[in-house]
Amino acid sequence: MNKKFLAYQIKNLLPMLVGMSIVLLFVAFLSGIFSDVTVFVRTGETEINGSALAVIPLVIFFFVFLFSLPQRVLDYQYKRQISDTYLQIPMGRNALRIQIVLVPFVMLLIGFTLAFWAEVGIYASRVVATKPYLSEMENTAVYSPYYLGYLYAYLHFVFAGFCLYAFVACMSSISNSARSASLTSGLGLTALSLAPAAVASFFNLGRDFYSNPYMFSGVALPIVMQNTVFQNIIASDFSETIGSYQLPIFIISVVLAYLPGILSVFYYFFVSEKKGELAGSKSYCPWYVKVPAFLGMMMLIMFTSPLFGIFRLASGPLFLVLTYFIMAVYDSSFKIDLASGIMIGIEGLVFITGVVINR
Amino acid sequence: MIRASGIRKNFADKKAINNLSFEIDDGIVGLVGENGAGKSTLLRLLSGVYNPDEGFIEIDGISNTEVSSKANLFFLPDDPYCPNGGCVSEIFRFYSLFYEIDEGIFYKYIRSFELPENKKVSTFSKGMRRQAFLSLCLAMKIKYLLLDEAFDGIDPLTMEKVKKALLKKRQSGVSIVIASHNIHALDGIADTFLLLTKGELGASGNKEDLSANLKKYQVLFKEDVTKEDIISFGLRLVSLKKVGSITHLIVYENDQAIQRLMQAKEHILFEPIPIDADEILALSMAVAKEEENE
Repeated sequence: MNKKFLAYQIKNLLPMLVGMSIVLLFVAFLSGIFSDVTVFVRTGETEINGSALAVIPLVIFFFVFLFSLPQRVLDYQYKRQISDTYLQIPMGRNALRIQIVLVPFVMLLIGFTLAFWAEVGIYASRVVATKPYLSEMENTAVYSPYYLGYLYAYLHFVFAGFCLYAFVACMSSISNSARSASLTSGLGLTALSLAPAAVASFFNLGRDFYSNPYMFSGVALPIVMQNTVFQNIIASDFSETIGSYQLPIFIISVVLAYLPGILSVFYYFFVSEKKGELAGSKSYCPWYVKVPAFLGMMMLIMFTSPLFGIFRLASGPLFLVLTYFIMAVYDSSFKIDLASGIMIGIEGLVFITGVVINR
Repeated sequence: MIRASGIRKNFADKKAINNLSFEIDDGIVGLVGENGAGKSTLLRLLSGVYNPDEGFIEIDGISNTEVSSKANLFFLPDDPYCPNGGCVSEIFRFYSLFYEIDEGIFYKYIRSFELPENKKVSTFSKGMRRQAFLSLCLAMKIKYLLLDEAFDGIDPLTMEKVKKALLKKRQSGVSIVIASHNIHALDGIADTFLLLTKGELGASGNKEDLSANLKKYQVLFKEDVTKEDIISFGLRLVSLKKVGSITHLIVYENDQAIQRLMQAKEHILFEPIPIDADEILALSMAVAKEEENE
């Protein structure tokens, strides 16, 4: 790590990240003040009543910022002029890429950490202030294990945030502009949120799975899941909500929510580093990315089309248009190359096959 | 010494650099070639902006991708970038994070070029921007300097200033490579030349080396003489130009053949004349191209 460059980077990023941190602190303050202080209460053997995690709005803002950051910090890869500057500086190429991406993440994480624990502090002080008015049964939140739940939630959100950040950084590192980076990242995340349903459909796990909120939560899975898990930590019984029939959904969802993030880290460092060399020119998309991406889209078309009821017939063309749009945005041109055209054609055939099989 | 061995670089289906090997030691090297010959790609390869698909590049015996090699070399691209859209001070601030730069010399040149110090570099004309970055190059304490179209957009007076400064830099032991499609711009500054033709090395050497086998004559023939006539006497013709009634003839040296031609064709004037630098390089490029086509 180049310390002088680190100082320079921090100085340049400071206004933007201080701004983001102020927003996070503001959200933390508001949700800490206005969230429900009804504490967790065990009213029977299994029934649990209680408030949601107070930090959810804060986490949503944190995730939105994490989504928008990589496109900004990796913009040197989109312009020949800037990539000439960055790629020649006396630093190892991967060291440069790690530093460029990691520093803003850590800076935002510091802002999030401050906001998170400030909110927990505000919330806890409100709970303590309410204590004299609560019965013994109601004051669970006063005890320290309740806040260990927040520590667990914090660590989980940081990990989930890192996975999201790594995925968007990876998408941004193979895109041709900040615009194409945000669109491909957004579309990629949408595809990922549909993927658990497609997997469940492939394994014929039954219609119950499709109605489960985990199925379509995708990158928002940590937020959807965390509340339940959090409550169960307090109740000391994880299986109460994550019942045995839901366990496969849970596993599929977790794997598909976090695995792309972890894989992205490897892809970012070992494959997409070449993109900077091609700044200003057309796309860099090696076959081992393109083919699985198309296979993934095909799988989505084939196995999610039965889920859309009367929209079933429309879902195929919709996905074809989506694929074309992804390619067009990625290549910064509506004239897509022959290979991509052939792949979209294959997708069409797969859709028809999917419709026939699912009849 | 910069040593390139068997380097290749392809973009999609296009061969940008094809099996190039050469060594650059001291002095100023003119890298010349037509647009699209691969000059900028080669400079990017030397500076580590690109990694070659095949072959290797060494700077003083160490791979050019090593940090220690990169610290000794600076590449000024055709369209340089000022970080954060800042003023000239931002150029100094950014590059001094990685290179040793003499601040006094940097601002001396900035003032000598009469560049506004408080205006954003992005508002500068191309020539002014180039002058700002040339000031940086001249103030850097490095061993190798790679300049892409260094004199583009610079007025003749400033160009002379820059050339003088570069010659001074060379005297201090810095090796300089200047890529240009304008051969005239390199006249009087480059010690040796590398000629690139479609990503391959067409020819190399100093002006004398490049013109060693070429002879230029001016002849006033009584009757019209065609290319075919000249070739039929066993001469290898490089160029045939008519200026009024005078014919300028450039051929590969062959005294016997030229004597036979002069005996056979009636003429009023026949004299050998020197070939200027521009012509030598342009011809060498043309010859390299011709050989490639053959």
